[in-house]
Amino acid sequence: MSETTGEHQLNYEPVLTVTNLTKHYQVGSRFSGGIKQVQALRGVSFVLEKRKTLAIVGESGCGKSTLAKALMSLETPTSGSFDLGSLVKNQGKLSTRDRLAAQRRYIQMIFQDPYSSLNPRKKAWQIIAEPIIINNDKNLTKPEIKKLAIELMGKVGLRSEFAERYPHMFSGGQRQRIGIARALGLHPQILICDEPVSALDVSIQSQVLNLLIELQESLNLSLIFISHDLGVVRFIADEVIVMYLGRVVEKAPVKTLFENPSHPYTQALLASAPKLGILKPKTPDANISSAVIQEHPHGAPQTTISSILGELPSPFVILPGCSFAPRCPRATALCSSAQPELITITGPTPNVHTHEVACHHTNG
Amino acid sequence: MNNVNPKPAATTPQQPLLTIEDLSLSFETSQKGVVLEALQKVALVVNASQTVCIVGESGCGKSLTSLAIMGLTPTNALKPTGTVWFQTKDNKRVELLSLPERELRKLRGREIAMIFQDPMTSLNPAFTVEFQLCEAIQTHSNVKLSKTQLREKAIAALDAVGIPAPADRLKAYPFQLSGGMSQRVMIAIALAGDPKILIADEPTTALDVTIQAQILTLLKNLQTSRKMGLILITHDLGVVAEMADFVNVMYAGQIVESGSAADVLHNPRHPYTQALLNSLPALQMTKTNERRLESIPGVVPHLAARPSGCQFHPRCLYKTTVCVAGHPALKAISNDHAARCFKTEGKL
Repeated sequence: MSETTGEHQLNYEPVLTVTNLTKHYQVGSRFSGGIKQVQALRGVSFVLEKRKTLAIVGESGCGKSTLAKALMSLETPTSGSFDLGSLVKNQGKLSTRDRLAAQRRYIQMIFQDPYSSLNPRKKAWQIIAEPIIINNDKNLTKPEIKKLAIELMGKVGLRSEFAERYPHMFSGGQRQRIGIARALGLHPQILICDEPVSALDVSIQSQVLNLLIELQESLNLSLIFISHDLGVVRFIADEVIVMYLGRVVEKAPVKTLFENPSHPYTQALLASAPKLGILKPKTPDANISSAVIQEHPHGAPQTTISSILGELPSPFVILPGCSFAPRCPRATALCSSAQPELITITGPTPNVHTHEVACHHTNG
Repeated sequence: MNNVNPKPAATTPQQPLLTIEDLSLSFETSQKGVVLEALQKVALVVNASQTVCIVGESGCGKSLTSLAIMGLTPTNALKPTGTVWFQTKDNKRVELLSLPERELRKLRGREIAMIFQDPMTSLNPAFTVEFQLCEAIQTHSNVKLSKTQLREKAIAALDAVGIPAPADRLKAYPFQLSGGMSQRVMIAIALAGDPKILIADEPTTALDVTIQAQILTLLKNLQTSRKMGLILITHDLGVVAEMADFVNVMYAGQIVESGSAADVLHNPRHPYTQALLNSLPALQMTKTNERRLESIPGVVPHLAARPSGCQFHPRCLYKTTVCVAGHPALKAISNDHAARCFKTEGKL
């Protein structure tokens, strides 16, 4: 997962460049206490590279799903832009409909809930075929499309005899596979995975994660992986963005982030995650058990759950300073008056595999 | 505390609070004569000040076990069989499954209380925190309390679960509370009757990780100060590692492995427990070259189509003909560590 710097620059091939993306929502009405503004995204920038996985981590309300929706053009950003680079050509000259159609061929999305994201009245193959039917520029006939859909089912590990089944006849893991097959139908370059395994059982979770990695390797996919599960992120990601109240507070290659988290919020997240490694392993049965229990680098030595105080503040009231200041153990007067910008701590070239932190007290 | 043969010895100074033996629960189906066995001979013991975790995937029967203890099984379920012995506050031993509903009602909340996964839907959206909390306090009080007394107790109860500015929060409606706050209110309501056992069914699954840490710490502190028994139902092995004294791993309605947290998590003996631990990404990170997770093939069997023999054998790496034919028993490995597997029994 971590390569040397030289290799990185050699292979540097951005497929998506997001610049200063901002999304504000108007909520409420004049009759229910006035219109309020939620700043769901406050200037998010990053670069996604070909064949890499960028994970977006944060608690509910931090804007990670809004970001996914904005990238899918399901929401119009208030300001800022994202650039699909060479993937979508002549973007400006197309009508909205054609531009969206072109965009959909390059970015597809897998949703969190495999139960509500599939149409219960359609058969598995029809669900998978839907994007192909909508984007049918090769004028494929119905049997040809069905054949494609069944091929896709094979790709994600579903047997072809399942094609005529309805969603309720599948388990959660199988449904998520249908969702993945549907997303792959248009040969996208980028797959946005919004909490793709959080609704699944642990034993099924690993099957789906393995499938995503296999597909990424065989189809040269770039993944945006939204998750709150740090174990999953550590396993799948190349680079990680930590978000808090619509802002990126830390961005780093996965190894750096887990071994040297620099923002107090990242540190708190890592400390709060329940860890298996806190109990020392006894000698396992070598024949059966290959469980390697690792001492977590940030793990407390005993069963103590470290927790940070307080909760996510109201997104309606944006404080002038650092959003995390009210919960931060290191906060000073500076933190509540001035907003810290993302500053590169380490890294070879700007924007590529750098470790960036938005904190006034990074070295404190 | 022997989980394999949980006959409490009469001479021991501390009797277990709760002793479940051979608890089985079936569901009737629309087909006549066909019943689905959701729980098969579940046995577990809970002592005072002890956290007992029930861990397993969805549909394994972990929630049903707790509902059976509370006498809250779904209406389409047949009457559970087996015994659930409970030691009440006035040191009477009662068998919960044969207790009439009227008696059971007196125990709920006062002796055994429960909190659920989704705090938002567990609270009534139409009433304030004060109304719901005071209702619970009055229900469990032997005397009629005045409005000011109730209010004082409610404020103290909210304070005890770490809610800032409790007097102001009393006026709030559930929608005005965050997920973490709602779960704290639920805990305050559950503890209003000062129960000896608290059953927490996935109490933090709906919460963010920093809030989860806060709630788990709160539960742990409350348990220690009140010497409560805590039955924690979860699918998250990380939570088990942080919280559990004793762990029961369930699969397809059976306990397949039980033991201390250290034994089960670091010396797992049942292939299912081992596979579950191995499929966790957090553990796999040591294998940097191999970018694949170990996974358990297949899915949990449907209750209507239970496999023969060992329930796990269709997904097991070590299965033999013995596993297909015979039903393994939960056999002790060491004093309180037991597994339901022919391999650990040495029959393979």
